[in-house]
Amino acid sequence: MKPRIKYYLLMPVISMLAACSVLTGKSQAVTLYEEMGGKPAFEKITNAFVVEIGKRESLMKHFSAVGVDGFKERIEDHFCLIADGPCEGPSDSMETIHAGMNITERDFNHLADALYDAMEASGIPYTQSNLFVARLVPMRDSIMYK
Amino acid sequence: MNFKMLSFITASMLAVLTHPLQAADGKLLATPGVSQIEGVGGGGFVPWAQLAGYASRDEVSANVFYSRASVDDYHLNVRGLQVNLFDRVELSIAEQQLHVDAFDLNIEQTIFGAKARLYGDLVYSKWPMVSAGIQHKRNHDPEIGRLLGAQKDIGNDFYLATSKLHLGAAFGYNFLWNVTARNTEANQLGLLGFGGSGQNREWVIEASTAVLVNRHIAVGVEFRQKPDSLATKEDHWRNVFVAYVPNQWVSITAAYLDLGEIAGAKRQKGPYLSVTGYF
Repeated sequence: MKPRIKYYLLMPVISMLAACSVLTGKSQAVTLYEEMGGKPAFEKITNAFVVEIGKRESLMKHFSAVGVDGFKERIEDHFCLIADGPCEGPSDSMETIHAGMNITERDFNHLADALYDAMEASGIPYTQSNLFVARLVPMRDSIMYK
Repeated sequence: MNFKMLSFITASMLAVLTHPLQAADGKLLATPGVSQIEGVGGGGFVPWAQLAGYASRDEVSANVFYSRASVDDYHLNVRGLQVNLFDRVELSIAEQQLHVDAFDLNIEQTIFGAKARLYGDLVYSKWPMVSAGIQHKRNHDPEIGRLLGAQKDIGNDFYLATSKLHLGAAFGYNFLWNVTARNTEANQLGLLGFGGSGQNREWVIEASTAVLVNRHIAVGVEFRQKPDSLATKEDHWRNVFVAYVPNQWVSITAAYLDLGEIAGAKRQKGPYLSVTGYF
């Protein structure tokens, strides 16, 4: 077998090893919340996130009736819970919170982009950003087009 | 560029520019893929399940692209356009021009493509995204293909593509894969005609994998199984690529191609560059 073919066979092996590391890695002591830097980091991320929302008309249009300070507190609390931090999270369902906003697919992707920008601005490594955004995916269906 | 292509481009540009929304930016950066060698949204060789361009389900978008591959004895220019309608249907047109050094002549081919998203989203759906597509290929210079035993100058490829991007799955990096099953009788993409002696339509497998090393750069490999219908050998194709996506308006892909034997000339390898502009 030519060496070139062997190289391509390695790809599925590497990806399976990667998948295993994702499965087993988090059963160690540290939560993603702690890895990302705990409360100071999430305060920074939330502040940067609100700034990024302010830059995007597609997101700002959903915030005309919402007060910034209350939103900041609630979103930081929810991000904390999503990252397995010691927080309560929202008392209402995601569907209830976003009812009537008609958040589109484009709006959601703009929000993910805003979050990536906020995490980058806050010094969060790209790898942790991906793992955090991955945790938002299950909520997407209950947020969009409600 | 002929009149048909020019009018298609003009019509599509007008459709995009008169649409009430701005140029589309409804997807995460780099997730639409780039433009593959037959003009379809995908990688370098392989058509991917995702539809070209940044249109989300409420938008339309159009892209233009130019690609160039240079191997030892052949040089391929490809240029064309893709239109994305509400992230449901992708239409494409590509003009290929292959320069054959040995005879100092050009083989030109036009490929009309249509792709429909059947299920899913690259990033967010539970199961991989699935799309089905067709490529209608018209070879305008079929003489060399006919000389080598090709039976037809026009052919259709049908394919089913499935893709997924796994957020953070490769040690925290985003990992993308695509597998495409294609039904074809095209020889060297159709540049050497279609069919040969005997029944030649067959299923072939094409695959790509890539890792996004940051928000703007993807590194990957591709493999494309090729049919082998003519007297001259047709090898499977491989490449290693880097795609750079600085923003949602442009992507640049550089690759190193290993195309094996083409019409008797062995060990055809060389660089590839492709640029796509997104509207």
